[in-house]
Amino acid sequence: MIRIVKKLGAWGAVLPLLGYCAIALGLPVWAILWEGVHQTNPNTQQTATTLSNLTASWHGIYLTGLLTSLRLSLLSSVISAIVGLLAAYAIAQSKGRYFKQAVLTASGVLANFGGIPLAFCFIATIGTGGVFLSWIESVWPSFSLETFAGVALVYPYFLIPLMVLTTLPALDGLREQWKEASANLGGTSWQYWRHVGGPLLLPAALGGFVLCFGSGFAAYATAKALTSGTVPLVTTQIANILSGNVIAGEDNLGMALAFNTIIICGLMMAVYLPLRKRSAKWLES
Amino acid sequence: MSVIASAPTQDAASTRGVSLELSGLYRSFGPTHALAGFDLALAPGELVAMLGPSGCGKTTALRIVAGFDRPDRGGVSLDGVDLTPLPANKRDMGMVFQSYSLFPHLTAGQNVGYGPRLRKVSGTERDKQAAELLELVGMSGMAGRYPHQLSGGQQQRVALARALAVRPKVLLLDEPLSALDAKVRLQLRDEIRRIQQEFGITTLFVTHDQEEALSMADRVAVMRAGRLEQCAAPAELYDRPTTAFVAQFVGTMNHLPGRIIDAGKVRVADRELAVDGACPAAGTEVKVLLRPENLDLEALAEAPGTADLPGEGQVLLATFLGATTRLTVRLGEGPEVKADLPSHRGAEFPVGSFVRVVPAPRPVLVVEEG
Amino acid sequence: MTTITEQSPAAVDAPQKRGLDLRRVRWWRVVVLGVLAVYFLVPLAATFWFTVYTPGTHRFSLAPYSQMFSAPGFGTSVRMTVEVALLTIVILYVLLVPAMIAVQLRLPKLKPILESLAMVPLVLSPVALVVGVQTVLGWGLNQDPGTPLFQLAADLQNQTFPLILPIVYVLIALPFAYRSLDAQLRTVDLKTLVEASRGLGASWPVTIWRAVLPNLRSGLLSGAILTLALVFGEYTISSILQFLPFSVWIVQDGQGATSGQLAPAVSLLSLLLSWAVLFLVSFLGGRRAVGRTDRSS
Repeated sequence: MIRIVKKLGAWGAVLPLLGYCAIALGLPVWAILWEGVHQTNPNTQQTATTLSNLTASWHGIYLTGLLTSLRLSLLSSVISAIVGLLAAYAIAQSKGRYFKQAVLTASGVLANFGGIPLAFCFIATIGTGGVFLSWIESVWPSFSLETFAGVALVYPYFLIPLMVLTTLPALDGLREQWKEASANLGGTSWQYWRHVGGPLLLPAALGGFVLCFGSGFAAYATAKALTSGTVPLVTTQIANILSGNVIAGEDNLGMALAFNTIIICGLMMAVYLPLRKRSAKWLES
Repeated sequence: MSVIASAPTQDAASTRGVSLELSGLYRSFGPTHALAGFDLALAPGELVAMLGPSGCGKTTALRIVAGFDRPDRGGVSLDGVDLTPLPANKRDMGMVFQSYSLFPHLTAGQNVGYGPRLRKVSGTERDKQAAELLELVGMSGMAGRYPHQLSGGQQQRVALARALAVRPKVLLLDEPLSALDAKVRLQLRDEIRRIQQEFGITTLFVTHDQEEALSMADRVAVMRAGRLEQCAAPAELYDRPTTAFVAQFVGTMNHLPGRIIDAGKVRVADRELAVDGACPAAGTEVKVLLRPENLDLEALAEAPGTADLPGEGQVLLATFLGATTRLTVRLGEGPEVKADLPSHRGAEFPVGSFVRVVPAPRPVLVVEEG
Repeated sequence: MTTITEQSPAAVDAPQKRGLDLRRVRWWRVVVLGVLAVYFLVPLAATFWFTVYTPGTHRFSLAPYSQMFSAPGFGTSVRMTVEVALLTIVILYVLLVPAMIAVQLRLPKLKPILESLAMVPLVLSPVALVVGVQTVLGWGLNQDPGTPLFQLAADLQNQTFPLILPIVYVLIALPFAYRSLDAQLRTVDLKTLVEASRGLGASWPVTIWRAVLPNLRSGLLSGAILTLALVFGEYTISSILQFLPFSVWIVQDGQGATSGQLAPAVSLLSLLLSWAVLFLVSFLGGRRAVGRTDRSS
């Protein structure tokens, strides 16, 4: 066994990881793709390839769910991307070592802090019985945490740290010499950002945005805990189907919905990867 | 080779050198005093090198001239006009940084065209100028390359072209050759000097490499701890240092013990030599400054005895430097001195042999003890 | 020509003028970071307030924090979660560390693949993943009992220690562990370390154990802590698969006891704790984890 590993050399170290991912990730994904396009007739127990699941998933409440999910992700990721980028820039410019380290670790933890704990924190703050609810209501009377707006307010809590984590390396890579060279050649601050800083950061910023969008789209637990179903999202719909709230004969509909999510995930990756590569080439050599 | 003929003829007046003056610059960073009263004046078209050990303030001074930093006190003026209120992007200077200053997402040609572009020069005109400048710096045909496709030396050439593209009044160079290989460094050294002279641009050049400063500059400003020690032409700096620091810093310098005897003469290594410049009172113990190339050696038959002002000793080390050999000799129990001899003569004095040191019969500089 | 004299720099007067630019930039940064600080800290503060103050009785009490330990089911769920987390970390590192080292040293072309692999779990919805996992497990259970596949599927879903959880969590934790390790690997000159160690006669396992891993300590620890926090906070997958680790327990059982103050209390505690530990761990590395280009004078 050891001899085989030795012979493979470096590959021997990488293959276990790749193999694991192929199985643990590939198998479920394959299952979804397969089941999404098949349906078992309950009477005849025969399985046939069909697009009916998929087409059903693009209509009615499921279409609404898909669109709402996309809208929610878009809104929260746009906000988070812009704020996150500004925050990352502010952090990259700071000199204090402890400060930077504290913020970096905080981002790492907060990016991870989605789901139930986050929901509970916000419920305690501005949900029913929340500490600051009365304050908010004086400014925004119809506000409720259980609506689209409420969820969109909460998502940036983990999306902004994600954006910061993703773009901070690129911002750190912006060399001071470039700013000075631009000034020296007669450029104002605005001109620097327009011609040099902006183009250099664009791939990383876009990549971060795409990542935020994907994460927002994929989130489930937070929305569920906040709204318990009042806001239709793809992820909550899938969960509902899985827990049995399903109309008979539509069992593979859940598969179809999951299928859609996987396609969207694939699209995200296809856009993100080239952007990341470009940014790394310029800013992280 | 160059296309210089077309470059500055139209704006000959505007690119003819300007005078630059740094007066009384003070700059501290917390407890560190980077500049402690620094003065320097550059004549039009002059290349002055700021030379000194690390921490002496040379880069700080350069950055203040460029406008990236503001002095606590003192100012910079160009042709008599005070620059202090002007921000960096309005100072009409060109700067070449030590490394990595080319914009990575632009080609060489686009980098060079950056300044003109900000000044609303048309695209075709920009490309033409960029092509001319790139040819001038020996990078013809490379306008389409990206910085990561260029070697360090090539990048610095493009950086120079980029700085020149804006027809600056002053050229600032911040250790532009330090990050390069030795051979490339030598090549670029000559080219930068040539270009600077052809354009006649007043240039301020920061370096920690002596050889670079001495070979390129019209005058060298030696700095220490934020102040100017001496600013003079290379030869004068070498032959007639005005402070002990400069004497030691520039080139190698031997210190032999000596004593002043009357009328401007000093006794050292069993010889009497004239003292150059003001002379301390007779009887003063001094250190005599002698360059290695001004020391010759004589073979001794036997081990030297102790002497008051020893001029005899034993060869400790012989370093072959090609045309010359540097012999390190310990005089008596005391100082070590270095003597540079042509190698064929240096071979006559192997390690361990006893020798007498013979200073050349020229006036010498002395510095008082203690 | 003057006499040569020793000169020493005279004392300098106190500085007077400062650059204006610094001030302009500074306030903009303060505004941005200030607003963000409010957004991030206020909910945490409010949560803390919520957990210690009951409006009805106007009482301050740290009760929820002590009560959590005695609530029923707390012990078993915590233990299960910890076990699952540990197993996840072990599997994750056994797979990830050799792979990252190998890619860094010998197979740099695979780096993009590894990086994309580490991004996928962030974008792939855990809900979708769990759908797939459930389906696959279902396939196993559809086999005849007694066949190895059936047995495997059943074992994976053992209630007291569901092996399927660590298997899936490894994927979810992959992005964070990868990022921690990658950040640290960049600051370590791996090639030189390995060559020095091998040159002195050490075999590969010894080299990794004694030369490489100690230098990756900080990254390994941060990754482990992030994974721990992740497993503790993970709800989606475990609830849908109907197991009862910590987070699921909180939502189900923990709520009733103290008028809903327990869950937020626990959430807050876990967040602050993991941040504090991570912050301290990041200084273990010794090297500068964050830095900008230095400029010599």
